[in-house]
Amino acid sequence: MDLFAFDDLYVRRLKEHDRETEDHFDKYFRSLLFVKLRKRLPAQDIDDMTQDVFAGVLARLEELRDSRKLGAFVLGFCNNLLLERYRKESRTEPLNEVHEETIPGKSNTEAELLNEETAASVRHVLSSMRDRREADILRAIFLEDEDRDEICRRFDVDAQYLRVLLHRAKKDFKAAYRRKSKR
Amino acid sequence: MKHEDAISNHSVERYLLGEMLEDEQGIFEEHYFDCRICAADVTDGTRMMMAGRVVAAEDVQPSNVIPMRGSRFRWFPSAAAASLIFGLLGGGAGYRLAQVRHEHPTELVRVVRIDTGVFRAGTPGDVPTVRAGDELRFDVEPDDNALQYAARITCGGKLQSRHGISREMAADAISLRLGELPAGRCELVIEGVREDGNRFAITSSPFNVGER
Repeated sequence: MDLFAFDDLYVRRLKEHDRETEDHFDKYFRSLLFVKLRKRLPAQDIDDMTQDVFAGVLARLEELRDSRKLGAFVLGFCNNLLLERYRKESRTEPLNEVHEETIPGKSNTEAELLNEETAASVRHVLSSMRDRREADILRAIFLEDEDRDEICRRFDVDAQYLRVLLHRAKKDFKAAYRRKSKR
Repeated sequence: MKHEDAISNHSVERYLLGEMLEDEQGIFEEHYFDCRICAADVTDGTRMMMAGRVVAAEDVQPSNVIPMRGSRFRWFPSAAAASLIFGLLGGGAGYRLAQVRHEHPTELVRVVRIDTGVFRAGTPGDVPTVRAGDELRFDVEPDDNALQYAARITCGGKLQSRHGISREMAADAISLRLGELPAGRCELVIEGVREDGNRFAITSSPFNVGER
């Protein structure tokens, strides 16, 4: 975790286009916006939306009243842009809740997040699980990450079990990923 | 949301598992965008889920495969917000998007007024027929064990859409704008969601989707 604080100094540096602060802002919020947008937008549109959010936020930093709430400010911008996009879509497209991924694509952030180390770390987590059944459940979560009920029924576990399993896997993954990234 | 609440509610795991309703997601996002600990946790978790999908797909074995649906469910708030027009939405997250067509909605579940004055979902005597773009109106039978409710539409056993309904929303009749659905027999299933995230059945109401 980075040691930094969203405070008046950080925001002032952003306003002054301090290179280091801008780089940090970009890196930090690009990941968070990707996490938020990955299930809401087609992959190929995520980078464009992220750029629009950044441009809007940086142009209107004067409106930020509390520097500690920079994250909420960025999120608010993102929500407004999403809303605008949905309004346009609802005028031009039929309302439909199940979207087929017809256009293959990958955002730059996705490519950054997915690398050799991440895949190797997941393999390590799966292979080091002593309980074969737990590894199967985790694979099922990864493969079919939308319908938890089906996984619960199939493996006869409840939602709490999945959360705990995911929590432990995440912890192991982080440790493995840190080790592999340092090499 | 306080950080302690995020921890005690397993918010990161629930967010990654897609368990949160739209409103709850919004609240948690407001938290983690300003909380470095949760932000790092959510990012690492997402990284693991994405890589996990790739790795698990590589070493798929018959014993660990859950049949995939023909089309992958994607939760698009645009469509969700556009299609769910709740009576109480004005007090929600502000995602009121759809232009409401002023047509009479189809009463999917016959509303039966019972002695307590609470509207209760009943079993329809006849199965209504709807078309894409129609509105369905239904009530959610209140249940004290439900922290919130989940509605889903299936057609021919295949999931078409899912909708989260808070207790507040469930207090009023709910209108659901239908998107594209295959012609034939479909079903609206309402489930209660307990505090621990487990679900239980409440009602299941069939309806037919007519040809365009």
